[in-house]
Amino acid sequence: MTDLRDLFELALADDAGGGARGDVATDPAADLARGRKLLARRRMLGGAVATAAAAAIAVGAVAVVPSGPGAKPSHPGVAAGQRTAAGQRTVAGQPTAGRIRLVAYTGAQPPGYTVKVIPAGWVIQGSNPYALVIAPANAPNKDPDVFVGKLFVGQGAFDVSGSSAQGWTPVQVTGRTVYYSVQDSTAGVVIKMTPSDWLTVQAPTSLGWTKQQVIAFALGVTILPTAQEGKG
Amino acid sequence: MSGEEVHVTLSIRDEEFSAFVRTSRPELLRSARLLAAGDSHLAEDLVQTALARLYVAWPKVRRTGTQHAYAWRILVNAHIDEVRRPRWRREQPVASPPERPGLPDPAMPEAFADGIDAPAVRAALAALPPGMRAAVVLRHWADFSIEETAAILGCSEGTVKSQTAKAVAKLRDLLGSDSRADRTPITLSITTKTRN
Repeated sequence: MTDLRDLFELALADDAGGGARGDVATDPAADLARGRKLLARRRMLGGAVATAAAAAIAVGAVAVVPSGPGAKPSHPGVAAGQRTAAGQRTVAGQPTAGRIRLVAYTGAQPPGYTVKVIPAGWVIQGSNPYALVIAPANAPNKDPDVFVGKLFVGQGAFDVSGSSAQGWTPVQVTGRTVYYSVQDSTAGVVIKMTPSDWLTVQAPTSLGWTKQQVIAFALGVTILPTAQEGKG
Repeated sequence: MSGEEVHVTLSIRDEEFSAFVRTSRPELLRSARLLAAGDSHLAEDLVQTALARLYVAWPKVRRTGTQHAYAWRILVNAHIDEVRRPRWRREQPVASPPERPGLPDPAMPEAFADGIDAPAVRAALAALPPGMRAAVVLRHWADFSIEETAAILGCSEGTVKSQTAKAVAKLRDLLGSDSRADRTPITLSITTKTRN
């Protein structure tokens, strides 16, 4: 007669790692360091909420221009975008000189998200239920858990009437209100998805994007129900 | 270089979290190895993920006294996420790499009394769907109650019961119908829980 617990013990019986058997002292330093790092990252992401100072410039209309022949803009009242030599279209009305252009994303959609546009020359570096990370194809840092200099998409809470909205500028975009801010080297956009969930986008200012472009990118992202809020 | 001392002040969170890691990490790692069907590398990765997220949530879970259950919840969810998504995961450097699974310890008997050895058990665990594996490990290894298991897995108590029953039945099928003639099929028994 074999008990299930005995069976599980047997499955672990040839584990030569003494720590796994509990007979080696566990040093928490590495786990502590990882925890602190994750906490710092979460705080960095949330930091823009508390102290951002954004220019209050109303945006009349921002849209992502679909790339298919005969396709109509995804938002009304927007002129057609310019087709590039590569057959990609840029965001309508936005100058591209000196800036990284937004182009239609034609690659495989990451699990949990749909992406309509992406900076030219950038790739989806990673995605999980908590974050979608987009970075230059030649980015030296390939770690999708490092967000510096990259586009970050996630979801979280946002209270338009509370302290979390300080420093954020409401922007009217085709009948809906999105919130925009810039702090240090990061621009942020939050867009209401459900009464409790907000899409959060962070873009490095090194992209040289205007507010309209950051918002256009954000409006082109949809978070599917499989994504989860990053807490911390 | 002089013998300059560097004083590091740990916060209450750090101290409490460190104490938790010292006492709970070994068992979490063993449990993670069961969830990972013997994959020590994945188990270490899952525990690292779970503990890092636990540190972030520490003030909240400390208030409610749910550190252990929260760690398990992240562990199980991280494992299910891992098996469901493409493997783009990053590697975390560790001081010494965990042992590869399946390398027998010479000090251990090669096979169990009933003729079942560790690789066979791990293979049987690997044959269970991740959710089913988690249910049976939570119930019959970690000794969580049905209610606690349901809360960790985010499902109903009925689902826990059915998943656990199916897991036991499948393990029995896999390990009790060994094709090798020189092995005696084992009979699995379920230990009665002191908790409901």
